[in-house]
Amino acid sequence: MPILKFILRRLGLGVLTLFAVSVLIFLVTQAFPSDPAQAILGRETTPESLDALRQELGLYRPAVVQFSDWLFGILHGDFGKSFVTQMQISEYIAARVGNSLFLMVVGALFSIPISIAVGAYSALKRDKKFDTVSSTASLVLAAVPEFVMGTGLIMFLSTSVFHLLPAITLIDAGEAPWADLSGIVLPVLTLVLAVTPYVSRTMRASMIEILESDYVEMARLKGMSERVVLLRHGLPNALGPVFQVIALNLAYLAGGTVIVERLFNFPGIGSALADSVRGRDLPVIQFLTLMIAGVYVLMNLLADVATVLATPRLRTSLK
Amino acid sequence: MNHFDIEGEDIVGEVTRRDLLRGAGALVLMGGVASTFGASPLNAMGRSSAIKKGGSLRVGVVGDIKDRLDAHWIVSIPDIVRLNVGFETLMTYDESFQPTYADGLAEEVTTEDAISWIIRVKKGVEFHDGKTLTGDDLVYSWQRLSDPKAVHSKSLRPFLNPAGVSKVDNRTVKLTLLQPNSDFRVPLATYTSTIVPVGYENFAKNQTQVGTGPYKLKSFTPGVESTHVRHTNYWDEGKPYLNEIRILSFADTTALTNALQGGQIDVAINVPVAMLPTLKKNKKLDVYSNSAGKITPICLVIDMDPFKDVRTRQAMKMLIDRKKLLKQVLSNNGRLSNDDYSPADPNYNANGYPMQEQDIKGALKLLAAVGFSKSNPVVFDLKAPDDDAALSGLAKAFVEQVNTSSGGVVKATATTIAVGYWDTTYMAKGVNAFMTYYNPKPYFPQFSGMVFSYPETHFPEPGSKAKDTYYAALAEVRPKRRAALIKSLQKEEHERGGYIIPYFVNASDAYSTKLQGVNKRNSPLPLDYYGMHFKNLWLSK
Repeated sequence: MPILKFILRRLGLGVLTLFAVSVLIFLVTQAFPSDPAQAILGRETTPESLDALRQELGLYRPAVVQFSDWLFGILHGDFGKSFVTQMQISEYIAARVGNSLFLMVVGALFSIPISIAVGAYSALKRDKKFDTVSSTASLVLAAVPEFVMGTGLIMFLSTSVFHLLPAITLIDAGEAPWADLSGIVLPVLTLVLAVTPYVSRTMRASMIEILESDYVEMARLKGMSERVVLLRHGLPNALGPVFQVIALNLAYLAGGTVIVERLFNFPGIGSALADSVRGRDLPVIQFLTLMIAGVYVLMNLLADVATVLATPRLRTSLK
Repeated sequence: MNHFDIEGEDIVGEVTRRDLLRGAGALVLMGGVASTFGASPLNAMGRSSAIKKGGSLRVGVVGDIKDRLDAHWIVSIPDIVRLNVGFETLMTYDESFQPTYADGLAEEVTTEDAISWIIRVKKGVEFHDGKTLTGDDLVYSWQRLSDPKAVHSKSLRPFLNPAGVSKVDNRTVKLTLLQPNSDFRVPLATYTSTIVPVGYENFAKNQTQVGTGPYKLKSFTPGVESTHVRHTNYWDEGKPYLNEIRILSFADTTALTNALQGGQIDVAINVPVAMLPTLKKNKKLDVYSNSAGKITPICLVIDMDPFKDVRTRQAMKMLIDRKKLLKQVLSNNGRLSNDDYSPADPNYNANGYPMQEQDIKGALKLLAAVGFSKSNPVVFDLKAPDDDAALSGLAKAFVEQVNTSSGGVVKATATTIAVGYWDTTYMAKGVNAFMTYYNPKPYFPQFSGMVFSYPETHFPEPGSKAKDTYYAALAEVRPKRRAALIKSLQKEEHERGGYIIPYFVNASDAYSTKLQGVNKRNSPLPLDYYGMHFKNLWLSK
């Protein structure tokens, strides 16, 4: 099947991409200005203790050996041990991955439908009141950094004006991410407000282009209702470019929300990555970066497949 | 009757006579201290409220995955909090940094020659696992503390090694020092000198952490939180009051203070200065600023250009306006310092030096004498960590002041290091000016820290007898002779040292008004050793 060949080809490219990312990340971590052993032991340490820890962590091995050992482990499901906590990375990260996945799913469940609906309706009511208000609002939201937005929501809904919601997320170790549902509201709201403007504006632009196309004009001339024109001819073709933006935003929701995680004390992989950089926890840095890169590759692949499936002319061109 | 069977019941009638006497004694003591530090004795004891047993206290502190649990070695602030919850020392400090038996495990500490120290512990002290504290545990603890291969033994190594630790009887240990130290009660009171059972290992090797403290560890996830439950056979009768302490690590001070304001935690340790006005306005919160003497020194390396000449170092101290720095950097949350330290120590400013005022003319005269001018300026780059506003703020303000007040004779810059300051820049070869910090300590440990453990400024100069004077002062038991030696040490530091310490930093903590029992005295650790291992604290509702 042509679509299957397409997927396999993209998967192959994805694997090559991940390999390149792994090499790049390894080189970057080797170029860090300081030593993991020094970072772990702190300023109050002795040369003997530093030396002993460096031996234990295998830091004296040649870089090529360190990289190949690590890559071999990854390919065999052994993600290694955290330098700092001495826990198996799989054990250390598992809860964080679950938390970030939950945040991504909940964020996506709200942001994607809202974005598509707002973008499509704005295009339909182009230059009317709804369009003007929603376009201005999305510009403002896109311009405001997430940190500012999150802080504003905390002040408004939690600490200063109203006291309706908790200011941070409190998920105990071992608890499911939905254990503190009220604590999830503000981080999710911040992320939805951060992501929705981009998707809705792309949806609007794409929809406008489609609504002005010849075949839509033909559908109208044939006497089809505006509802049919929009839902059968307009929306499916307009979604193609939007999938790409949705994919990028989903990948961001999965691994790029370190600022929001820190603001709300949310234990996700973004803050884990930031912590591991501060602690020079090289195996964790390498693993998380590779994982986030994998999410981006996968999301882009899914977006491309969705685009092809949603766009008949693209399906035809694959044959 | 076991009071701990009854949850949350007022026990006003059961406040013991001992508690009353202790409170009265503390009031008398604090009366003397209050005038020095400007605190009311009544305020020092916190709000008056009936003691209520039970409840869970949520303590927030900034931490990360480097959080660790070891009874003797700490790296970050959460480590200190967790250590204090479950482990105790032989002695503690009072607010003059004098070692005292109150709240310590020792019944008596004696010496006749400042070399052999006999320590007898109180009776009936139990570890969390029910085992009674014995001489074997004391031996194990002090051998671990003085192990020359251990990272935590640095400051003890000149005085003690494991061979000098021996058991006398089931409650007594003898420490035979390598050289006389009449101040050796001070290490006994240092909060990291805790007593552990035989065979103790840190959390990474043994997740069952056993100490004598009022709370025992239930669970710990680095970078996330730890939970500690009441030690039912704790030696201090009637205490602790709370059922549970939860210590939550926050990545960020913003999240920490938001959580406190939102009511999700009860205590926030080390709140930033910028948040103090907001927190003080909140009627549900109390803020306590502790001015025990935390310092953020500017380190000028005295054997590197341009600071080799003592007149250059003296000029730098004279160019600054300390009051302005205190206002600019800390919004006056601190008090002035004369480039000295340990303000609570009885030995503080033994020579009675007046506060150094800004003296631009005098400074320029000194610089001219050394050969510096606008065409040949004093040039240096002061390094600071990016992630510590107290250090980076002072570095920038200091550089701005010396440049401006010298009219171009000093051309300094301040560089903040974004990542890895403490690993790559602090005390690094070739770095002649950088920032550091110290939590409050008594005079001798602070001197030792600055000269032996972290010789940041490379003080003293070659040919100086300061190190010998230090050891002589430690060994000296005659008060007058000792005072003379200390004066001589401080004179040399004041006149020839490389530290610029313009002020003492107030350490501020904020907590819910539900929290009672906070002893608002100056103390090296927040909330007076976290409510003395959290045992003196209770929640009013």
